[in-house]
Amino acid sequence: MKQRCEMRMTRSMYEELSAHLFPGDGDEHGAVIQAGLLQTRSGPVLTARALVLAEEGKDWVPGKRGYRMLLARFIAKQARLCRDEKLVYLAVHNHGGNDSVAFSSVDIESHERGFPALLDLVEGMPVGSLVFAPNAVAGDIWFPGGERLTLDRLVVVGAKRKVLRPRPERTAAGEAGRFDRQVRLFGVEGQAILAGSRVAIIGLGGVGSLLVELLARLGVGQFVLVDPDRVDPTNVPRLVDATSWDAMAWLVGKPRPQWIRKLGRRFATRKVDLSRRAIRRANRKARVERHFSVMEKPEVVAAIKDCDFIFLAADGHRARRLFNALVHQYLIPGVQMGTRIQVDPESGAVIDVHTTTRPVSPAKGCMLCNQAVSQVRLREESISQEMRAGQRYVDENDAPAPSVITLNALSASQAANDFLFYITGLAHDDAFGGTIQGRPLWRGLRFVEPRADGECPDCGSGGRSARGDHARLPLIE
Amino acid sequence: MLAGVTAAIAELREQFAQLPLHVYPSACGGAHVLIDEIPLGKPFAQETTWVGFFLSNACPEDDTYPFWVRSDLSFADGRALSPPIHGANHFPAADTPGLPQRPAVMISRRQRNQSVWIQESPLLKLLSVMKWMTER
Repeated sequence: MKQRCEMRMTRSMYEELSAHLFPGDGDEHGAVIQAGLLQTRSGPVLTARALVLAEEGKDWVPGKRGYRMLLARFIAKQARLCRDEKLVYLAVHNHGGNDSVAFSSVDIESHERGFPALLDLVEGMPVGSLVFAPNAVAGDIWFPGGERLTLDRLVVVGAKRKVLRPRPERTAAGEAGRFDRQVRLFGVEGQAILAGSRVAIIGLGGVGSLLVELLARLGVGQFVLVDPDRVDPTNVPRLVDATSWDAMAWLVGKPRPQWIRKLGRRFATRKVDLSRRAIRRANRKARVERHFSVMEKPEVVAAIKDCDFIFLAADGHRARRLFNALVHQYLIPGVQMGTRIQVDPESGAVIDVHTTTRPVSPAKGCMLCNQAVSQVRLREESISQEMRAGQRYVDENDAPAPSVITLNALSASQAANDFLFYITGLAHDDAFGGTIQGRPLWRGLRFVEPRADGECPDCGSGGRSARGDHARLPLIE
Repeated sequence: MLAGVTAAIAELREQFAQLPLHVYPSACGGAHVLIDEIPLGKPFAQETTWVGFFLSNACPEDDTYPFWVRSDLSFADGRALSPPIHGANHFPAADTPGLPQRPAVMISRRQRNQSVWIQESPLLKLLSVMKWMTER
């Protein structure tokens, strides 16, 4: 199978690059991108980490063979930086045109003259070149060992997704009839984007189960489902399509002997299987990859790497920690969802109910900066139940938290809409990018603007941001 | 042991090179650590103590707590121990092969700084807890 080569870039970097390449003078301009590299099952992905604009007349000068060129000294300096940081060196310039772009024969000759020496200089990392038009990009990427790939697409990650290719892609005729009512909103192109999209859903409990149903009926084409649990009788009121049979309710009930209950739990339906069943009912063409495990497994991370979007619907802070790292390291946007119901343990009075939908993108909403990952909770989730009991010095309430399907639906539907308008490119550029908290007791919403800290190990410029496979992921060995 | 645990232990060994330091790997990739003869002095009646703690497989991302010290720990001026210093405890908190439980005093100081990007290694946490103790 032919390997695909993709590049991912944040919206802010793309806008800075576009302003530099297309200032309105109709001329050519140059730059260098330093990119992380990750290997996915469909091919390599380049993650733009730093942009260095070539200064006119100093780094970007009249060419000896072509019209303009990057100065050799500038190239060598940037290539050495890439070698030291284990990043991919990418020379960038622009051509005329609008929706299509290609390298000139002079460009290709210069790659063939210069890239073998550059590959020696960067010691084991790929090098390449990108040429932009306002709505198109082409890439020629050279890998150590002689492999040479063209860039299939550039994904710009921001409030809405923008995809650039060498030339416009022909939209395959979709199932407009079946999806007629929604195609009237986002067009046949939008429906094709959904059919071509791949999403990961981490956690298939009350929120994740509803998400599966919504996304499958929207027509999302590929799912990666992750959950280590089986259906329990207390889950049935909140899981789409779940029955008492799925939970083996007739075996796991209290009157049964312990060994029969254990057997019943063992044969209860896995949540990943229940969700696949729901997807199949909604859209038989969807492809589903199931992982009956926690998120912190190398094979799960491998499946997520080439996803377009990650939904985090799991409760744990270990999952939150890893999710945040994946978003920033691989430049895959996501959203975290949850519901919190506080009940006074003494009186049983409801103190507070709120639902959360928190977009987490490489540019905004970092969960570390917004104190949504607790080191104390990480600790508690990382020791055994016996150890927790042994070091406990106050009575703690181990009872499961309240959970209600209608509340879960608030955050699931907001997250599904966030994804829909992001992936189809319909969201407004200045759409609110922070957390939306539902306050159903007050019939209200709260809008929480996220914080960011430049020193953050995930989203800060010196951290794992866009590092690809080079940085070690937390909690993964 | 996972890489994060191994790195944390190397840092502890470097800091406490003069003291006996014992490591008991756990099945989940973490480790119990026991360091003997850590100086105490004022305000405590004892000159030294052993300190025990557990490094989980989330190390160094998680908070390292609690710490356990000698069971006869007492203030030199006769004050009673009070939370977060808890008497009548045991280290380790659960049965651990190769490391018999011993009576201990538990010091449960959780990381209150939610700005988790300021990573506090197990060594820094141990040093800050020991400093906090000697300031009681």
